[in-house]
Amino acid sequence: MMLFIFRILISFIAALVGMVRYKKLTMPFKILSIYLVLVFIQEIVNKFYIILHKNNYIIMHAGTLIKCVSLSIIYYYLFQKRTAKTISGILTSLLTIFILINAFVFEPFDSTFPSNALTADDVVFVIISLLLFKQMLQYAVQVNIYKQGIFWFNSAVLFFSGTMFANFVLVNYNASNNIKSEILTFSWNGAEILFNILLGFAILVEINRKGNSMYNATS
Amino acid sequence: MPQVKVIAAADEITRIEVMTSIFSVFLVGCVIYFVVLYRNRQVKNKKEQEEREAIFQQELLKTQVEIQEQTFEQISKEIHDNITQVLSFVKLTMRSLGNGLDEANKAKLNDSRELLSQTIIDLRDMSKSMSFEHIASAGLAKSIEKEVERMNKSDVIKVSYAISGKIYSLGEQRELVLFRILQESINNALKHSGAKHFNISLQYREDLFNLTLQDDGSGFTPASVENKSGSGLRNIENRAAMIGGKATIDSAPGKGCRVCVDLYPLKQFNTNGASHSNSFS
Repeated sequence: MMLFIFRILISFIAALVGMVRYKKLTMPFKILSIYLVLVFIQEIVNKFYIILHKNNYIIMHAGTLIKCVSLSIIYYYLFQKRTAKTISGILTSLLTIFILINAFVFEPFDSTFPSNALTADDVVFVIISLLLFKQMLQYAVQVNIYKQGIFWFNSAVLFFSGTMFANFVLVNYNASNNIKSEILTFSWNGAEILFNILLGFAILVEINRKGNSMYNATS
Repeated sequence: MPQVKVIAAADEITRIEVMTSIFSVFLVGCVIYFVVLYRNRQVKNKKEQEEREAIFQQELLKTQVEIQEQTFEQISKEIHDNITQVLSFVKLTMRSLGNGLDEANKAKLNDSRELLSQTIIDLRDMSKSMSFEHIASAGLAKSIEKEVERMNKSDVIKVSYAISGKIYSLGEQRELVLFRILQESINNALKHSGAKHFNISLQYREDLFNLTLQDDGSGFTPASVENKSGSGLRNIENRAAMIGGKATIDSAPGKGCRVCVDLYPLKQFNTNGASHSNSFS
């Protein structure tokens, strides 16, 4: 219960930071703010759904889809080069289609946890975050890296996607070998909490630097 | 047997925990590595930008100097070909007017003709000091000598001039720039410092040429002129750097101003480290 309260609190603070700073943000970070609000709502709905229906499959399927679409749009705005935008667009489009097919065919949304979708999601976003890191190196701006929201956002996605992918692998391994490991539960929750903290921090430090930013992607 | 199974499961759990930890540390390490790379890239970009800025400033200065010299040349020609000719004609006309005047008026006319002659000479000297061709043909030392004579004739400031060492040519363009630095310094002394004496010294050594300009004016604090736009002092420093030299300016309130320009004839370089040719372009 304490863990849930802590998660909700972090999620709420991150969403609140996004809403407070909304007008000062560039478009990708505005979308991120909206995503954080949706994440907060998802956390609450998730808890109630578990209490009522003893599972949260449908919430997880919906959450995965929302996460995929939101991050896709954010990355589309953050990429500068057409090639990177195209690659990102293709990967995320295929991912979205896969999530939808998975929800209706392979892992029905009302009865199965979307582990395939989450795994694919993590792999795709690790690749995309690495592409963005590459772009940041190519077009390094003269701003302290710790004051760039893009750095914190991308680090959050890389860390979260990488950790969750590893968690899935290990959870499946444990399940097939009847092993119970507390560390994976801790790692899972820890990754989600850290993800929200880093996203909130990204919004906090992000400034709309018009004319002085490689990611001057306002609408 | 159950005990063995428990130990095996515990080992497995430890291995999983270690793998999870290592993987997390690996991800964090990747991000830290990226930060290091990014900072190095920022430093490199900044350095490149500064170099581009320095090159741009050099080119801008060269263009400004070229335009200035062209303007001076045009003015010099205009003075020589037009104004002094007209004044000479006026002088001739005045001579013919002298016939039929009484003694008092003749004396006045002669005084006016004298003044006119002096004006024509001064204008010719000024024209030569503005003309690149005259400075180039006469050389730096001779050009400064003529300039010193002109200044001393004006009685506004007393200029002294000393040369040490065997005179050699530094190249037309460099000598022109040094001459302009001298003119700038004299202008500054006259306009701002109220100086009464101005000392010029040239030192010719095999490995070093030095031009030292010193006045006895009111002096200034460097900070008080540093950020002013159009600062002639910055102009002096930039011009010296343009020809591969180094200008140092020392002054303090009440202590006058001293400008030293050092030039290494055997080892020329510009501000971005490339070798420097005897030319603006």
